[in-house]
Amino acid sequence: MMQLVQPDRPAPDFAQLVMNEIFADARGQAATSPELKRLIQKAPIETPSAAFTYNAMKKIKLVGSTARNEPIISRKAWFIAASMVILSVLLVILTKAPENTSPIPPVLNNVLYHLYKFIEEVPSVCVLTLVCASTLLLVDYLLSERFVRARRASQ
Amino acid sequence: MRPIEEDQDWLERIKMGDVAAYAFLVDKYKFMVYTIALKILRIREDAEDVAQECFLKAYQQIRQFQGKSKFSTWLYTITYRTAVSHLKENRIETSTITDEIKENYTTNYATPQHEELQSKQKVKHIKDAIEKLPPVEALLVTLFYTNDGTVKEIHEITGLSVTNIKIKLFRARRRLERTLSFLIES
Repeated sequence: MMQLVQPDRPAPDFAQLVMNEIFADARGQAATSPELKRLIQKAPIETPSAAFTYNAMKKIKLVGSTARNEPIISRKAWFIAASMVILSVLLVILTKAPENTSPIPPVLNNVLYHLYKFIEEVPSVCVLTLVCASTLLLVDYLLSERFVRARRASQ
Repeated sequence: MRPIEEDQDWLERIKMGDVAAYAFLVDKYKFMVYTIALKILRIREDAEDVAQECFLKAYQQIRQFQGKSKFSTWLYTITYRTAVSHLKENRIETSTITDEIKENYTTNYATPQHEELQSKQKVKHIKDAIEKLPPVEALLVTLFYTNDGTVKEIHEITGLSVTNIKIKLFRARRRLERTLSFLIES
């Protein structure tokens, strides 16, 4: 019984219209109407109010500059520098052993010796400050990295 | 200097923090941005607000513009999306932007004497004919004929398929040719 109900009928010229559009598309007619183009281009486009630019720029200036001030030395570079300082200080302190029993190659031993001598000559307050600053920098880097990762994960 | 290179130059200045340089781009593109918004929203005040919002959005996202397409295409894409979303948010009527198939417009087939038509009247007739088109078709006609855009650019801006754009343009062209036949023939 349901099959007795006929489907809805489109307009009588439906097929013709579809075929016209398909032929037009095949011939690229959508893009070819120089007369119409000339005519339409005679009509000027819409014009906003005279204060449009002023109002738009007022809103933009409120938002502020897009320029972001980025430090020349990146956070990663600071991390590497801090690691190097801590590592070299620790190396100097921990490898202060008699020269004949040292497992370190002579060249490196020589460098470490000079570094050790330098650190010895520098006032201990300076060395301590350097180590503390480096440690803080390292901790700050590690914590902030962790914070960024946690924020990304929560988004 | 070619327009694209000129835009690039201004964009670099804006990216460096020169806010005032953006005024040049606002002045250059305000007409088409406003026209796109108006074609979609049909209310001048709303179109102006949306157009300003678009320039603000474009400014805030300017670092994301990679230069893979023209700045104008990128800006018009923002405009189209903002206007459509504004239309959806503030819709009171039940009609949608894709209701164009209903053809609920009337066409005056009475052919005025073209001798009597002054230049301003001609322009008015052309504008009226475009106004009577469904919103999407009016927009496509503006982007294709007035803005001299390609089908590919229109596809980028509107997100409509290339085939759909071609069909809509063809349909709009047929209607316009019928409505403006007295002007085309002259």
